[in-house]
Amino acid sequence: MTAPASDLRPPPPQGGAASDPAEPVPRRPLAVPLVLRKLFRRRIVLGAAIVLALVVTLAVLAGLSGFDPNETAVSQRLSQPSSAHLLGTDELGRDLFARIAFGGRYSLTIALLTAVGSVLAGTLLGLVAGFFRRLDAPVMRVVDAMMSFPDILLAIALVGILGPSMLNVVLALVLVYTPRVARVVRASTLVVRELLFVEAARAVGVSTARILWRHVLPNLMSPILVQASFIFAYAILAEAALSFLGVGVPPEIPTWGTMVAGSQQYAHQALWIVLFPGLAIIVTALSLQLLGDGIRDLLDPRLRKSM
Amino acid sequence: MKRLEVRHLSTSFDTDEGRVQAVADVSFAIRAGKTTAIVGESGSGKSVTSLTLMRLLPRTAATQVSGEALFVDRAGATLDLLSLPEPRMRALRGNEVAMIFQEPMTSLNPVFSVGEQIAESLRLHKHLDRAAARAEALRMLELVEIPAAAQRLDEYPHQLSGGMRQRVMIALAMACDPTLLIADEPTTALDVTIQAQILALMRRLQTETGMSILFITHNLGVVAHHADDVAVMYAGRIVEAAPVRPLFAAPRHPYTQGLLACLPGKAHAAGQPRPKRLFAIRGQVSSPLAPPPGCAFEPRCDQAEARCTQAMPPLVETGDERQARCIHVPAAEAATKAA
Amino acid sequence: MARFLLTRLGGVLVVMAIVAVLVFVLTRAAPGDPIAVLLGDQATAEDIARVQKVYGLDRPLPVQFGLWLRELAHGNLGESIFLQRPVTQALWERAEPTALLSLMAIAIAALIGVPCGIVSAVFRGKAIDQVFTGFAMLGASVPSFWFGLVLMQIFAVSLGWFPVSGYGEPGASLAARIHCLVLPATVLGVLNSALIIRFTRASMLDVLGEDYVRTARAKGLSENMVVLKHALRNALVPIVTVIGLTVALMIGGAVVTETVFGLPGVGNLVVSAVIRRDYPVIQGALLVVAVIYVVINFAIDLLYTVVDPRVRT
Repeated sequence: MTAPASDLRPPPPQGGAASDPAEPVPRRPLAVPLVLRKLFRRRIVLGAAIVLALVVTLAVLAGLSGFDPNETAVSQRLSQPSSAHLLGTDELGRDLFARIAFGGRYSLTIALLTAVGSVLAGTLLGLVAGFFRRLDAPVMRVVDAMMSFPDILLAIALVGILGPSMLNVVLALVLVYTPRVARVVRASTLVVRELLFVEAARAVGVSTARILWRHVLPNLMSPILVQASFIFAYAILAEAALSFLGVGVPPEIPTWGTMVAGSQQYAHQALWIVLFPGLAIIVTALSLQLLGDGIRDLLDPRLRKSM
Repeated sequence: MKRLEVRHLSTSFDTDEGRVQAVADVSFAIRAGKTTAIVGESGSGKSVTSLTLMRLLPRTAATQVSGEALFVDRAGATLDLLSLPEPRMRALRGNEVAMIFQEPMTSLNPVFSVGEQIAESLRLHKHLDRAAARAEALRMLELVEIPAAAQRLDEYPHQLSGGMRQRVMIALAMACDPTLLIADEPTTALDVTIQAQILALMRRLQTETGMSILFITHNLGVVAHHADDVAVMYAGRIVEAAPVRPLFAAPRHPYTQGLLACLPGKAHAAGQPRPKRLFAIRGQVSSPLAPPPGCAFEPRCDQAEARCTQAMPPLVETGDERQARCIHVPAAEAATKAA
Repeated sequence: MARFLLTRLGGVLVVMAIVAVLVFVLTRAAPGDPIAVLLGDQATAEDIARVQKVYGLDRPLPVQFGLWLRELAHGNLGESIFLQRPVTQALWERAEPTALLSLMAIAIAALIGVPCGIVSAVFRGKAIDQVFTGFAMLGASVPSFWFGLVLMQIFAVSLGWFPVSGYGEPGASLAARIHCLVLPATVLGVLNSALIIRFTRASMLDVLGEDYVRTARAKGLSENMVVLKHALRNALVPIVTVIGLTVALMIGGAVVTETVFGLPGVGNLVVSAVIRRDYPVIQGALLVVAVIYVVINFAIDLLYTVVDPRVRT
């Protein structure tokens, strides 16, 4: 059976010209970009990405399914994992698997917004501090001051002030993690600023804003991306801790942290109601960190020597 | 008497891009009390040779070494350095066989004083106590002509200049009276006036102690003034070996001839007008991952023939303590004899 | 060296000044009135105004800031609205459990982290390295409250080896107190050892690739001497840094662990203060914690001069 003609092969030459048998027929290369192939060269990074994709898919599906995570069925409270309830039920008879899937929506959203927000704010601060010499010291002193507080304490205080809500948790965490990003971006900006092509652009008369946008920023992409993935992971852990303490999202909203908070007094009877939400956090945070490591290795292979 | 005789030394590494043969079939000898120089450009395998002899290569499965390195120790016994058990080799290192490296700036530990670093070696190999080791370290610093040695003893490497650090390295190497000193480009990183001093120092120490020196360099001038025997390396192999004067007077291998022709002032035969352009060997060293099928130098050689691509020429003895790895050489020898 | 330290000191003071401003702004910016909460629903506007006057909350903000700074200079952190006690006293009472917990946790973290990091670096790429590195990644992904609850369930509830919560009876001996802290310290220590393992490993790998390590081997030193004497001394600087960093993480981590294990420490105090909007306590605690952190970092800088002679001259 002959292969169907496809646009991968050129049509056979007409006429008497003999095709050279030694010449390989050109094929279009596999559509997977080189970047992804290099990123996933380590199987563990690929595994992490797959796991992450699964978690996200689960969270999205939960939202679409119309299932109510707060629906109680007290008759079935604290039942062990079974075929009916994959991960068991909690103290109000709510299915744990569904709640975890739902919780993923909230936890992941909060963490994602935090990562995006702190990257944006931190990059802006870091660029300004790194590029404009006179602004460097004042901006970095403020950054240092903000980093003088332990993350959780600062987040607690901020949420305490702003009031418990999803938005405020995001805001508080953004304020907590922005200094981190600012430091990294500033360090990279300092290096890039001294590179010759920046000097060349200045000499030609390119405006500062344009230099920052077109020349400096693209070179910061790799450290920024790495930071973003780690902050995503930290934010998941931080939101869970805040919610657990009661100074995070309001307890009605089922994030992984509020789930553990609400159920902790039943832990001795039914450890799984605390165990599984925690495992969800661990798995997600771990995958994000592995992915961040993979991105870092990919974009800066020099670092691989010491990591 | 030969202090060190190396036979068919080969070292190869497994890298991500394939197996690299850094050193292949290297054979040479170092006479007691004499200096043998290994000359070659970057990547010719000379440093790897010295590290292989000292067994300082990373000990991973990716490194393969074969051959023999027969060393005559102080007691007169002949040992194969490459097959000694590691504790035995450690007893020799820094003791009877010492090495100094190219980068004096980074070869000394920044958190220990220079005196302590020398004394450590003395305590280890000569079993001196702390006070005796310290006194001996001071003597070594004076031996290498470091001014105000007593004060320098407690100073840290960053407080010394490059030339002085190299003197400290030499003192460190000489502390236990080695019979063989391996010097891997010891003066390359120093400026010219300091170079001359260091070389003179090494010469003097050699005369006083009778040690042999394996001198690795890419500087032909240094070789001409300080070496007794020379081995020229190219692409991991020895292509010519001879005592120093005959080599410079009548180089036989086309690579050696090319190297000498590169020296300004040498680039013309006697009686001919001085050419206006500097000579350079055309082409570049082939990648170690894709070596030429026959002689490694063939792509760049003006005397190449078809035969040169067929097989790697063997290193042949030409009778007068000289060797060469070129198909032209025995023929040239016979022609000279016949003429 | 004196010059170096003075410049650092100057920087530290500036940072602390900014911290003071931040702390003040943070707490004053909050909506919600603690006085109203304190006095309850039945309070009239006059009652509230009267109590506000007592606490100086009716003055304009910059004036309040000035007053607060003046009190600070006298070592007075104000008085807690809810505890009816000076903040300083409230903090002091709570300091011991937190301090003891942090010390034990740092010791555990360093004792696990540094050796594992060294072994990981020396046997890079081998199985043991993968295990330790994997453990380090895991440690950074585990929420401390969850780990605490699980350990509590296994070791306190099921096995009964340790008390489930609390800090012991009033007047209990030091040994009894420590016994109560073993589980929480293990939680904090094990999780924070992750960062120490990663840093130690990275630092050792850097150092092991340096030329002077090759020189040490060329001297005929045994591999143990090369690693433990020549390499480790140089790797110490970043390792000490990260242990200092870990202290800050400890203080933060203590908040959660104290809540899980019901320890009457500073962290617990801050959480309840935040919920009740007890400004003086929040301010005081944040300030004290920040100052401790800054001081510790400064102490680490001092330590550098001892460890690395290059900094001295």
